[in-house]
Amino acid sequence: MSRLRASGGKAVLALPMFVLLGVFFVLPIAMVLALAFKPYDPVTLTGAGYTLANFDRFLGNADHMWTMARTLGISAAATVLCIVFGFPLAWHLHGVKSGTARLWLTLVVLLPLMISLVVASFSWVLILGNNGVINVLLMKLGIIDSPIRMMNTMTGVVVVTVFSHISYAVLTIFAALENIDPSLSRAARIHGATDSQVLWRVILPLSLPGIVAGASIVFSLSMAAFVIPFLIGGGRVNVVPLLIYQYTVQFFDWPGAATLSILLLLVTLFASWLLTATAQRAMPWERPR
Amino acid sequence: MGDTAALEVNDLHKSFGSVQVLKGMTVRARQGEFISLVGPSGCGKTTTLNIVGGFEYPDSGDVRLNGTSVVALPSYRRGLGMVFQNHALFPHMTVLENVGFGLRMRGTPRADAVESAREALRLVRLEGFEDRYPRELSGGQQQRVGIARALAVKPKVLLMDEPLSSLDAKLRREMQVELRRIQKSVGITALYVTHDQEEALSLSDRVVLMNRGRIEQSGTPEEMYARPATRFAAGFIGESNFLEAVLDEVRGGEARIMLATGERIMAAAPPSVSSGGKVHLAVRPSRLRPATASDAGALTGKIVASAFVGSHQRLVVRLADDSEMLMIVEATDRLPAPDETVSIAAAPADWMVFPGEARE
Amino acid sequence: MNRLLTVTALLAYAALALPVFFVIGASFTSAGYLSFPPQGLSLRWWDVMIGDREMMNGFWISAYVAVATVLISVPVGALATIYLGQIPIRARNILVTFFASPLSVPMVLTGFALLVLLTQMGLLNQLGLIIGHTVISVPYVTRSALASMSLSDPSLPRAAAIHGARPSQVIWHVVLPSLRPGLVSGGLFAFLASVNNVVISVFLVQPGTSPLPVVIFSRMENLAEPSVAAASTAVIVVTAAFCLLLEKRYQLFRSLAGR
Repeated sequence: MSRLRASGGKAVLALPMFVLLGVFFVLPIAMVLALAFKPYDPVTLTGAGYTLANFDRFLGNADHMWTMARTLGISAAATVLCIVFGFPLAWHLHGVKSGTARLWLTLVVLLPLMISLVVASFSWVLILGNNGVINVLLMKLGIIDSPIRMMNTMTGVVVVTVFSHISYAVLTIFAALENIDPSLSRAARIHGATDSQVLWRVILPLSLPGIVAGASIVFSLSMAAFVIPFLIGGGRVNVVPLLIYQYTVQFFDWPGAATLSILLLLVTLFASWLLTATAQRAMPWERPR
Repeated sequence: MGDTAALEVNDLHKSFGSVQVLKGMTVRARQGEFISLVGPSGCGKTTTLNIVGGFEYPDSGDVRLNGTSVVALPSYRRGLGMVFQNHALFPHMTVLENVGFGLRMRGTPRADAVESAREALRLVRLEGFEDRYPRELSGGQQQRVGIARALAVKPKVLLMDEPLSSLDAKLRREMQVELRRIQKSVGITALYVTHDQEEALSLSDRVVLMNRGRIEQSGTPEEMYARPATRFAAGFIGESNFLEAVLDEVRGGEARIMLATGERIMAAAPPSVSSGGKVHLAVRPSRLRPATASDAGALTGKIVASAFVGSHQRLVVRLADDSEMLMIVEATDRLPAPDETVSIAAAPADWMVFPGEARE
Repeated sequence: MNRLLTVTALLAYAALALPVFFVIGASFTSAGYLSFPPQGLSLRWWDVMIGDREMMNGFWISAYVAVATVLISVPVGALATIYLGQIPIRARNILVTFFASPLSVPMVLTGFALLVLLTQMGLLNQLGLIIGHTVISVPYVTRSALASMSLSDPSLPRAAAIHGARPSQVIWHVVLPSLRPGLVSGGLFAFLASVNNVVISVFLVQPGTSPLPVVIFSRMENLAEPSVAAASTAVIVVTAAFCLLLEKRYQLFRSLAGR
C-alpha cells in the first residue's frame, strides 16, 4: 500500500539519470557496436547486412596492430612514470604539516587538471620545441650545439602525457597514504626499522590500493588520449584514438571507426582488469573476508 | 471496557533474513505512563521502537495509538515525537528552527509555530538559545533541544532511543531527573529504550525486560528488582550472586537448599521443583550480611578481596567449594583483613530460587 | 632517502606549475612569433585575440555550454544520489558503477557514439553539444554528492520523518542541504570538464559554432600565434579565479587536501 507507493516514488528520483545515460550513452555505444558489424561501402558508406569483415581488416593489418602496440606502449610508459614520480609528490604532500602550505601545494597539484589539454599541450610546445625553453637554455649554456628533437616523437608524447595526468596518481596515492594508521610507522621504528625500511616494508605495501587506482585512471586516460598525441606528436605518432578520428572525419568509414573503437575499449578493459587482478594477488591481506 | 491504552504493541513478529528478532512482542502503555524497554543487545528493543516509529514494518502484529491502528501508516503520519541517541539535530537550522520543524512540516502558521517552539524550549529550560546553531551547544544542551523538538509537535507518544548514552555519567544522572520531570509535567506517554538497567529502574513507571525477541518479565521497578521471575532477570536487573544447588526438601512453603559446599540455607519454595531437583540460587550482594545466631543457615568463607567505595565496602568471599560471592556492606571503620574467615547469611525471603534446567 | 624524495617532489611541483607561467608569459610578447621568454612585453596579441571573431565566439560558446551543462548535471546528479541513498547496498554498488561509467569508457568512443546517435536524431547542434558534455560531466556530480552523503548523519532523515515531514519535505529540507558541499564541488568539476572538453566537442562540432578548446586546437594545427597564448592565459586565469572563489566560500581544497 503506502509502502509500495514509497518505493515507486523513490525510483522517480533516478529517472532523469536513467534517461540521460540510457538514451545518450548506452544507446549510442550499442549503435557503435552494431556498426562494427556492418560492412563499409565506399559509395553508401554503410552497407547492408552484417559481417565480420571489419575485424579482419584491422586485426590482419600489421600497420594497425603496430598502432595498437604503440598506443599500449605509450600508455604503459606514461603510467609507470606517473607512479614513479607521483609517489614522491604524494609522500611529500602527506608529510606537510602546515595547513596553508598544504592548500597551496594541492592547488599546484590540481593545476594540470584545471586547464584544457589543448592549453597544456600548447605550453609544452613552447617548452619542447626546437626554439623552445629547454633547447634555448641548453644551447645558451653550451651543453648542446643543435636542438634536441622532442616534438613529434613518442618520447615527447609520453612526457606531456605524464605531466598532464600525474595529478590523478598523486591524488589517489595521497588519499591512500592519509588512510594509513600513523601508529604503524611508529611501531616499525620502535622495533628497529630505518626510515627506508619503513617506507619499503610498511608504507609502500599499504599504499598499493592507491597506487593501483591511480595507475588504472592514468592508463585508461592514456589509451583514450587524442589531443596530446596529435598536437605533440604532429602527424608522426599514430595512436588508435587518432586513427578513429581519421576514419570518422577523413575517410567517413564509420564501420571502420566503430570497429576500432570497440577494439580499443576491449583492450583497455582487458589491460585494466589484468592490472587490478595482478595487484590483488600482491595484496593477500586485502582479500574480502 | 477500561480506558483505551495510549500505546498498544500487539504480538509483533519480525525477522531480518534468517534471524528472528521479535517473537511475539506485546506491550501496553496507559496515558502518561513511562515504559522502558531494557535488555541485552540483540534482544529486540530497538527493533520494537523502530516498528512503533514506522522505520520498520513488522512481519505480523499491530501497533495502535489511542486505539487506532497505525502499523500501515508511514512515519510522518503517526503523530509521534522521537529523541535520538546522537541527537540528530539538523545542523543547518537554528535551535528554534529545529524545534519548530515538525510544526512547519504540518503547515502550522509561522507565528504559531514559533510560539509553540518557544514554549517547548521553556519546558527544557533553554530559553535564550533560539538563534544558536547545534554545533555551538554542549552535548546536554543538544539533547534538550532534541527533547524540545519531539515535544513541540504534541505527540501521542514520545519515543526515546538510548537518548542519554552519549553523555558522561554525571550529566546523565542530571538529565535522567530532568527527563522524568518534563515527562510528568506534560503527562505524555513515553517509550524508552536503554541497555542500562539502572537507568530503566530509576526512570520508569514500568520496566519491560526483553530477551531474544520476547518479554522476559515486566513490572514496576520495585517488582523487577525484588522478585525477578527468571534466572536471566535476576542476572540482568541489579547485581546478583549465582550458585548451583540442589533442593533438599520443601516444608510449609519454605525450601531447604543444599549448596555444593554441603551447607544448607532456607529459602522461599520455588514452584515446580521437586526434592532432589537442581536449582539456580541467587542473592543480591546487598542482602548478604554477617551471620547471626538466629540465622537458619549460614555460609562460611574467606575474604579474598575487599574494596572501599566511599559509602560501602565490596567484599569478595570465597566459599569452601572455591565459588565466590560478592557482598556489599556499609562501610565501617575497619576493612576486614584478607583471609579473614567470615560467616555470612541472608534472610530466607532474599534468596531467589530458580528451576535448574531453565534456559538462559 | 627522504632528502632525495623531497628534492624530487619539489622539482615535480615546479614542473607542474611552470608550463602555466610560460603560457602566461608568452602571451605578452611584442614579437611577431611565439617564444618564451617573450621578446619584449606588449599587449598586442591580446588585442589580436579580442579582434578575432572565431576566438571570441569560442569563449562565449564554451561559457554558455558549460553553464547549461552544470545546470542540467547538478539536479540530475543530486536526484540520482538521493535515490542511491535509499536503496539497499548491493543495488547501490551496481548502480554507482553504472552512473560513473562514462568516465571509464574512452572518450573517443563516447564522442564517436554520440556523433552516430545525434546524426540519426538530427541533433547535431548546440543542444547536442550540451547533451554530450552533460553525459561526461554528470558522473563528477554524482561522485562528489555520494561522498558528501556518506559523511552525513543517517538519522537526520528519520528525525525529520517522525516529526511529520513528508518524503518530499525530507528531501528538500534535510537531504539536499547535507549534499550541498558535494554538489558544489561536483558542479565545479562538471564545469571544468565541459569548459576544457576537446574530444566530444571535436566530434560533435558544427562549423562556426566551435567552443574555445576546439578553436585553439585547429589554430595549433595550422599556425600557432601568440594570440593563442593570450586565449589560453585567459582560460587559465578565469578558471583559477573561479576555483579560488569557490575555495573561499566552500573550502573545496580542504576536503581534497585531507585535514
